[in-house]
Amino acid sequence: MIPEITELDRALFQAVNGLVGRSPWLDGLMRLLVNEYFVPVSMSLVLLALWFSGANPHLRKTNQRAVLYAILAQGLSAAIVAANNGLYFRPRPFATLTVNLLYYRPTDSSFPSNPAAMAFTFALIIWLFNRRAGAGLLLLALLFSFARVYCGVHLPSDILGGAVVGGIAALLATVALKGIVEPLFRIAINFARSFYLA
Amino acid sequence: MPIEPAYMIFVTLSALGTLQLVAARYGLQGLFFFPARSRASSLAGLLTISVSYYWFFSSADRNVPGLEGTQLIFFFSLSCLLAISITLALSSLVNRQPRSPRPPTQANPPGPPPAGLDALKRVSYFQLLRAPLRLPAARARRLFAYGWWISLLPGTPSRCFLASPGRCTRASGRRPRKARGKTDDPGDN
Repeated sequence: MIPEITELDRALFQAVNGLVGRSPWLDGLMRLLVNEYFVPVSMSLVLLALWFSGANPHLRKTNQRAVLYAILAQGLSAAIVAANNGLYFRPRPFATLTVNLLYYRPTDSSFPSNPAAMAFTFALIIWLFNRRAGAGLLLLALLFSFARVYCGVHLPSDILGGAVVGGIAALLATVALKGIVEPLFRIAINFARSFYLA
Repeated sequence: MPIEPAYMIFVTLSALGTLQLVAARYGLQGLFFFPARSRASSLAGLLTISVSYYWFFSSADRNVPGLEGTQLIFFFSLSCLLAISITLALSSLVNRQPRSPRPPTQANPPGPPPAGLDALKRVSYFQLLRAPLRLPAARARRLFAYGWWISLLPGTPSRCFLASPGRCTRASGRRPRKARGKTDDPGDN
């Protein structure tokens, strides 16, 4: 079963990565999306916007709780990826396969995809609190993940692993740690509110 | 330009634009860079974000090793704080003049100003910060103008130092004046 999944993974990777060079426009778009700046900064700016958004104080407070949960979940997701990287190393696709590489050669473990974990953590957490913003972020996360495969730095299974890590981090933050962090978040929001910043 | 300052400029400008867009969308006029002009603020926000993205991604190849994860978080947080500070300072400078009060409506009910961010719908941030300081300053001025000597009298309640002198009956040595034609003693009738 595992060799079959590995084969499917590689076949999917080569199908996506094989698109490189067919359309300069698509290559340019993927090169823009693949790096550590475009999507992460855009997602973080959405969080900044959410902090100040809301038609009434109740909606704004919900958005602000979402932002605080997203920051917490991001920390959890980074911790899970770091722990996994300490236990298991998977080489990047360009180390074992013939790849059309549109990006530099990262040296850390390929599985799970850290950028995908980051993007899906943000998207899933925000989706739990604000469906509209969450849907936008999920679209960005999918594009980011596709770009990582397209440019040859991740296998599709790395992305899947990253998405699962993002889901686990989101669940841990909003379900397992809710009782502990919710009063702290309330204090933080009320503190910011006393300075007219929430 | 090295990646660190370039990244900080990019994030600061984008965050400034984002804050203008959000302020325009939710009517937080106290954060506007263009007083009472929400469309101009929206346009300025969109333009700032577009220019910052275009400049950052066209000025150098960004698909090369650059900032690490923790550095990204650090510089992003720093740049966001900078953008918020610039927004609060600059919007307070351009919105110095208080706006004429709107007639009360359902969306703008009469009464005390709202708390939190909603307060920025009508006044700038510095005006909001000055409001709580203004009251103790006025009380201190009154105290030094004609009330300081009251504190020398024994048994003077402390509230008399802070209240307006007309309301402080005990320290002035007078009893509250009764209404004419009325007495406290029911036996007078």
